[in-house]
Amino acid sequence: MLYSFQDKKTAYCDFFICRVTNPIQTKRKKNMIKRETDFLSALESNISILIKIARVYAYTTQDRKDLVNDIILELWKSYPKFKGDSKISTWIYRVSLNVALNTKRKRDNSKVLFFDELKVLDGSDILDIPNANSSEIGLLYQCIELLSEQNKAIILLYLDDKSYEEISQILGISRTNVSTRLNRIKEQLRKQMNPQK
Amino acid sequence: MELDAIKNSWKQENLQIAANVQLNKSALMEKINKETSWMKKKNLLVLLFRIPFPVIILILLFTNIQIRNIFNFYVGLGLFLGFASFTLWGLIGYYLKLRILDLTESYLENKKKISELELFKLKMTKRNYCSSPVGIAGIFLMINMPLFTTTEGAIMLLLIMTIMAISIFVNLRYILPAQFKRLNKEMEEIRKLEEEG
Repeated sequence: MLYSFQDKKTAYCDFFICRVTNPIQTKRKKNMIKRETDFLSALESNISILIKIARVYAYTTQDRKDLVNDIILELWKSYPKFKGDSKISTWIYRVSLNVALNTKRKRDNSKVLFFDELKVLDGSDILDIPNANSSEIGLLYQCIELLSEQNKAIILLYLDDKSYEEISQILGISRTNVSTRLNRIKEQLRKQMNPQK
Repeated sequence: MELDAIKNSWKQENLQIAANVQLNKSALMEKINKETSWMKKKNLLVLLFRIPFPVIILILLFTNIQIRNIFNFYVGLGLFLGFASFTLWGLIGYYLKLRILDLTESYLENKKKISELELFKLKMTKRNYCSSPVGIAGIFLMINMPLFTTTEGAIMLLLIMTIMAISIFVNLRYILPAQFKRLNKEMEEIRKLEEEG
């Protein structure tokens, strides 16, 4: 049996229509789009977490960009595991701190930079730490830099109003331990920020 | 300057960052999808290259070999396959353990798993170093090299053995113990942190 060009064209069209209207495919695609939209809006509303972690755990602008990049990638890869049993910010903190503290990063200049898609409206370099002489936040960053890696995480979480229970869940240490450490950190920071007292 | 007072400025800065940063959502998602699909391909390629490496050696041997001594050949084959299975078993075990890592778990839990994984990899390297002479002997026996009957053969054997002995000595005496020490220290710190509180 010979097929004409027209037959083939019709067959392709049927196949295409079937693919487009396949309900399972459509549902999967819809779910994917929903997942992407949810992820992006969660990322946008919690972008300050990523920026602050990058400022605290990396020391050059390039390293900070790399860290933000890695965090975004890991957040996307881990997003299907987010079941909503904790706040999205808590979950973002957990993944971000794991990336910042537990993974080794290799400098790769050819890497695609997700950071380029973060548009800063006032044109400033968002990853730069504010000046310590002109703002108390800058001074705080300077003092946080002197803390140990784990203590940096504790103070970041405390400053972002996380409860002891949440800090303990994110870091995997007991509540008592969080409380003891936090008191020590506060004392240390107080001394550093007010050396004359 | 009290830390609790700074907390307000910190929260204010969070809001400022969130208001100042806008995501180019479609471009970002496109980049993320591109990167994840590239990473999947890259990982598969690495795995495909690493796992069948002994098979490639065997194919090369079989295509160029003229079996002169059947007994030596089978003993050599047995030794080489034994060594290859041993290294492959370790490699597969490592990749299986690697899959358990989950960045959505707590920081301490992840740190513990990563340290255990590094320890496993180090032990695997040590075992591979110790058993590598078996694999080399297997190859020599299979190709029935005239190692002891000619001067050239003896010199070649001597050179190979010297380089191998130096490499194994340096690794087992200096490099691996230093890494073991660092990892054991890390594990000890994790244990302490878990016991605290």
